[in-house]
Amino acid sequence: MDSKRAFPAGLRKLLFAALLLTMALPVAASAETVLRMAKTSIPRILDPHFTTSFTERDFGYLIYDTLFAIDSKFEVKPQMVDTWTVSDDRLTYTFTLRDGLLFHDGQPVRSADCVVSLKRWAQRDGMGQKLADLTKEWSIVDDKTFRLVLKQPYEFVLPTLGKVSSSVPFIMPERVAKTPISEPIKDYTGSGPFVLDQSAGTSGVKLVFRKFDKYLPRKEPADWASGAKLAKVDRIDWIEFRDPMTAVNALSKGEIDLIHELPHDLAPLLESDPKVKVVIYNELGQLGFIRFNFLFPPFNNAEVRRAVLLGVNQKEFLDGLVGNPKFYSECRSIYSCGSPYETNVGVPPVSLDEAKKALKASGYDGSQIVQFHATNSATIGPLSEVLTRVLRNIGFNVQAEAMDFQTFTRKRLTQSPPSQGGWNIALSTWTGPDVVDPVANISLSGAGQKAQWGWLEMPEMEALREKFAKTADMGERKTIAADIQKLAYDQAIYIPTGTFKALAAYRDSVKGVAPAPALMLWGISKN
Amino acid sequence: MLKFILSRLLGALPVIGLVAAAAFLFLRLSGDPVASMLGENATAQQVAETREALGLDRPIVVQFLSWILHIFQGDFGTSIVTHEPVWKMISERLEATFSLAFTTTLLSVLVAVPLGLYAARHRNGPIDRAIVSLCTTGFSVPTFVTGYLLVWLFSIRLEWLPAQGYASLGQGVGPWLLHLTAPTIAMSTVFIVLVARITRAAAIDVLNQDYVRTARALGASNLRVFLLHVLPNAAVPIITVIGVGIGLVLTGVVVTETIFNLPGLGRLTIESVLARDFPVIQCVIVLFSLTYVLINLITDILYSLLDPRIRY
Repeated sequence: MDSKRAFPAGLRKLLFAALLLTMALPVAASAETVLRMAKTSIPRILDPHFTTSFTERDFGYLIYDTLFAIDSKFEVKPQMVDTWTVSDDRLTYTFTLRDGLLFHDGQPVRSADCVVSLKRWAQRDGMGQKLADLTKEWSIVDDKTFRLVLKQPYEFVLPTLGKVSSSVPFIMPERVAKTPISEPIKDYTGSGPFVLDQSAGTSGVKLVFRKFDKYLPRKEPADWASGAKLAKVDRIDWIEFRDPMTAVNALSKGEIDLIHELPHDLAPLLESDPKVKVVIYNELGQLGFIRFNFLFPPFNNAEVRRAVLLGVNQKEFLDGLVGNPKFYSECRSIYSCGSPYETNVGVPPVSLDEAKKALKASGYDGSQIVQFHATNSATIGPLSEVLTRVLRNIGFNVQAEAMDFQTFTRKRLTQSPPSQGGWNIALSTWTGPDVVDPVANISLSGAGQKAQWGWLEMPEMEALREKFAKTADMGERKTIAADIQKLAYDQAIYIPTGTFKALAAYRDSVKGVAPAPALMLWGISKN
Repeated sequence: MLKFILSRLLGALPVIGLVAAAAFLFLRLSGDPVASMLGENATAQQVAETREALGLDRPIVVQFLSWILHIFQGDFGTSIVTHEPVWKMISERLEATFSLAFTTTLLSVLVAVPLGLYAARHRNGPIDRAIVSLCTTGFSVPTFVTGYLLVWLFSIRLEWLPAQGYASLGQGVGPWLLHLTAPTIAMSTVFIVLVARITRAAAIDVLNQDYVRTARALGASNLRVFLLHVLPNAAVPIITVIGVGIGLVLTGVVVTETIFNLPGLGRLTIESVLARDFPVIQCVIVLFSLTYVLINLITDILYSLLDPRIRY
């Protein structure tokens, strides 16, 4: 039978219209503005105290707030705190909260919430642990006022409470913050500008956040995590895109509005799209660093470490990872380039020939060294490959052990000898704010078993960091920071491999994307 | 038949048990997720404390028995990473994967069987050669290449289809189909080739049989010969390869789900493996092995329905 006779023109048009209507119905216009944001990972643990993962940190910034926050000039600004005083002996800090601060469940933010939250956070964070060691007591004066009493003066109380990267001292309700630090929380009530809507998301796929109407922003303009955190969209959908190319396609097509941390190699695909803007979102970016295991030969010998230091040309690493010099910068300061303590003191010139000579002179016997290599990390993977080649060029006998990132994070904590599952050398990354000063930069710690993996024991380094932490004068601090860097380079305790900047890409309908050291979505609006 | 089904299901229990035990053991050997959960600053002591809090410091046998006991009580456990019930996490992902498996199987069978029969009917002719060449090409192109090409053509250039994502059936049949079209085509490419080649070979074998010649001699039309004589007699190997193909589709969805950002079981599996989320991986593996058993069972039942000579 002729199909045209079986389905007359009128009926065919009707069917076609019905099909179109069916397809159109679910995308019916809605009054709420939704910012659809893509990242390669989505928070799963949902406890930014429990883990120092950057994804959880970014999640924390959406739903929690902090007492203080560091701005783009690295100055500490009050956030939840209204006023604070420091006693003349610099041992007692008294904080008063702003009026009208509420948690998402409508309960006021109280002193007890802050104290219990800070105690929980301090158990995991490096700077927090330092503060806890120096703390005599936390006491509650009233619902809005609480006090910190120190055992000895410490000039990093406010920078610690305002630290901007992992772990951030987010404030949770007291009942939530009472959860032991060995267990993740299960109640996600915060007092930040957005509320987590658990019923609307899907675990591991999409998280949905709604504007918290009762959030009380500060009056000062937003600057990093400080100032007015104005939620300008009704809802944020944080969608995981395991494949960044898929996210790029979705952004080109307008199915999402923003990609946070766009891979550098995909930037050219979007830069030519007139409806999309690609920007450097985080100038401080990320930094690779080479870490030694100080417990075993050959890297328990400073001369061998110095041989590696002399052979590391940051450009090789950055070209291997990023390629486009627009998105990277060589930075040999052990403090983030752009931070107040950036310096080139003690930095030796790079020379492969000198590195080879230094290795020969060091007494290295050609024994095999084990390099751990996390292959599935988009940053550590390529940088580690360059490291293997550099080490071999210098003259090391390298056995590169490939593994996934999760195995890497587990195995690098092992203190077994390299021949029994341990390691000699590995490469990892920091974000810029993690290494802004000698206190924040825990790779500098020389506290032996309490130090970062690698377990550097160097009392003179600890003494310098201690001195830095007790110094109030900025000029003096810079001098001590330079001394620390000189010691770090003399002893080659770790080697930075350069800074690569974090990118964001967004549709032209999105406004207000401001540079930030972490994912900060307040101030962003959408037409 | 009922006795056969019951005996097959009972026989599958040790298989699933073995799969579960092997998965449990090998996962434990690969190390636990605590260090990566805690992050860059974690000390060995903090890792040990959290391991204890999560019960990961207990002997493997104790952990295994505890898991099995809970499974028999209908409790599939709680994710180590997200602390959500495992079954909730899996059930949220079932629809996307089973939808994709369904549309892929349907499209593949609807295209591959006629294609195979047509090639067999015109064997060694130019059309047959074209189909065989197409099949070889289709088999050689990886799914991710097909997937990206489809996105580029239908989503970016022509703007006919979404570039990614999934719309559940609850959101309407239209969006559901639109979101599944490109992934289905990408997944079907290999499946179509597999089924078409087997169909062609099986049909050629049947076409050489005396009863087909007899039917033709009696004046039966080509359609009648193919529908009544060739297809039923070639069905057993075709059903077998479709069964195998469905299993391959279900376990091979990882790449397709990643390229098209579908929230399915494949992505959940890979995410859980990377995060060492043991309870989720174990449950997914058991679920997949159960699905394999069911597919094999259905295949066996279809054998006996299609070929009266096969009896259990």
